[in-house]
Amino acid sequence: MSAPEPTVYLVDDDASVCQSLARLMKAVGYRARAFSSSDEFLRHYRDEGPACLVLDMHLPGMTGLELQRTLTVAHRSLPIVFITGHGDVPTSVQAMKGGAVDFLPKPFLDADLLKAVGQALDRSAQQHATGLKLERVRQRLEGLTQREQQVLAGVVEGKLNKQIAAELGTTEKTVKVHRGRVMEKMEASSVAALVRDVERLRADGGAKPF
Amino acid sequence: MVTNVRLRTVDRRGQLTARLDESEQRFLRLADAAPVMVWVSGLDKGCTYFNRRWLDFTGRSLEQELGSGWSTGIHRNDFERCLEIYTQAFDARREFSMEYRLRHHSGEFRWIWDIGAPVFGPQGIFEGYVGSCVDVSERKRAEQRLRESREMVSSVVASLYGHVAVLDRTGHIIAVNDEWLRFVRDNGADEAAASVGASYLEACHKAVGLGDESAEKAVAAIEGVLNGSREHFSMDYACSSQGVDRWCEMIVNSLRRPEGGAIVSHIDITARRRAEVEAQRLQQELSHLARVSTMGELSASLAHELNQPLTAILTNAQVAQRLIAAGNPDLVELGEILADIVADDQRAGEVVHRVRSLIHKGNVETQRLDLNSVVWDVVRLVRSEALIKDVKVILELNPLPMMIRGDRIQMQQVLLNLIINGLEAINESGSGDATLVVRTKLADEQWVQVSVEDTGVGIEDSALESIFQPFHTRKTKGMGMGLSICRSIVQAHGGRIWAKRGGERGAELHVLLPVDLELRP
Repeated sequence: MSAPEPTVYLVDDDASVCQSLARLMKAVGYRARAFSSSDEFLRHYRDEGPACLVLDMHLPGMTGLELQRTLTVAHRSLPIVFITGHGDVPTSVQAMKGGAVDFLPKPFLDADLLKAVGQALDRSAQQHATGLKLERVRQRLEGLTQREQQVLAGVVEGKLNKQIAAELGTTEKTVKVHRGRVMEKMEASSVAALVRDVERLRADGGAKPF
Repeated sequence: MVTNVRLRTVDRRGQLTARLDESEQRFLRLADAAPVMVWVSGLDKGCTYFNRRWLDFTGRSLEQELGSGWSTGIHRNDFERCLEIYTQAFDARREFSMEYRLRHHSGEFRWIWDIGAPVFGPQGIFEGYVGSCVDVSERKRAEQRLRESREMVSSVVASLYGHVAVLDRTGHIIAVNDEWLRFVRDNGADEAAASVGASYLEACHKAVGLGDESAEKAVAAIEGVLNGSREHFSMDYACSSQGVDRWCEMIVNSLRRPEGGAIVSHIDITARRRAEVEAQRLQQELSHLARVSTMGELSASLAHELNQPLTAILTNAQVAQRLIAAGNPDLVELGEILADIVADDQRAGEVVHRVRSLIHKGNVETQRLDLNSVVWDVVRLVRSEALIKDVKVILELNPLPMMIRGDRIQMQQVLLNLIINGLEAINESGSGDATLVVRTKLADEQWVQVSVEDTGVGIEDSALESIFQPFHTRKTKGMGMGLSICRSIVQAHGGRIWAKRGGERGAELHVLLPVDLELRP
């Protein structure tokens, strides 16, 4: 599976700054998309593979920090590099706590920005890779029958076959058969790996395995 | 002859029961009817006769007055002097006149003017004196009043602080005070031409001839007051006295008397002028300091304002370097990059220029200004401040130019202060709807109004006036001079500034300024 071309989203109310940053991103081979406000960005953003956001802190309307919060709430894990013409410690701390990759006071050297953008895109790529893996887990999970899913739930909770059989009102032998099917369908090498995959899917929050 | 008759009467003094002949009777009738008081004395200086008027005046009988009885009626402070005059004149047989106080029958002393003359018989033989007296108390009192009033007038004129001359209706000097003369001497002017009797108007005319502009105004003013077309005039003028540049005020008032005339005074107001100039200088210094301090408060947002173009410039320049380093660069793209760099550099330069003009310590320059453009100047300066404080600034400007006369920097300072105060009040309130409105409008045909309305913490009713006092501040930093300086600037521009509570919350600051009526925009 080939990795999509990384996109750098730029949000700054200063047209001139936006334009220059877009040039820089293109010059180093990224796809650049520039917006002058948070709202405009939100209207156009689609999660289409590895991407990051270079975000000005002080924007008219929704500020940079507010956009960061909005993205977090929507479970859109787009790594952010903050840039600001007026850096103060409390805002930078808030930004970093919110998961920002970096916080650069303007004006900055291209190398510093590109380093931060590189890190942000790596993080995005990892998230995407993880996301793809989870997606596969989800698809396999959906391929299970209802009974198999019930057995899997018991396994993940660490229950014995006997307990699961008692709960489901069936025999231990039948549970064993289901369990073998689950391992096969979920392409799990071990019970531990199976449990880890399901836990990750739960932690992602986007999916409800049970 | 009356004289004979009288003297015979005198001879018979003490024998009042003696027979009086007809002419004596006639004399006595005449003497009694005379409109003056009459006395007669004999060779021994004692009085032998007083007429009815005298006796009526003193309220005493003839017997009481005869001899030296009359002396009891003379005021004791006058008696010695009168006796001296009488005795000396008597011995020399000369006429005399004197004034003394005589007790009226009411008990009051009245001033008497007494003229005595020696009487000689047909053969030139001295027979005594006859005197006639008039009550001159009224005249004395009038004289006294006049003297007092003259003394008062002259002492008032003399004590006047300025240089004062009184002119008659033809412009000739009829009185001056000491200061006036000293002033003339100190200035080395022609003393004769500025003293009593000289024509001041003529002297002024001469000065006009020498090209003295203020003399021209002075002539017009004095002539106006003298011919009654004006009551009062005053002007300030520069002059040089003993090699020192001075300021004087000339005041012309009409002299309220039937004969007309005028009072001209010159007052040295150099000290006042200097104090005014000094106060003005201090005011400018203070407002300059306040501007610098405001710029200090804005430093963070100004840094932001500068950082934007600097960021774009740096990024563009480094992109260009990358393109060149990569080899075979696109010249069109390089050209675009360079054009952007130039534009951003100009933008940064404008920020610096705006800041520098506000920090610059310049003289006040009055010129025609469009108030809307002043609003724009300031809004550009505080744009970043509003952004950082997350406040929405709304401009509702009159679509037509709002022409006033004033100093651009000072007007910017007023608006800057009002807007920054508004932003801070909003920041303090932390309310959701953070909006600041700057409005300009024509209040009427003569006034333009600029208003700054915020949604901040607002102003207590009790503070609506006191916020314009110096050192009034709510902020922990700052001098508390901002609005006080705003008010002095606005007042110096002939305008007015006031505060109001906002409609729902916040505060409104309004400034009225006179429209510049020149038609050309």
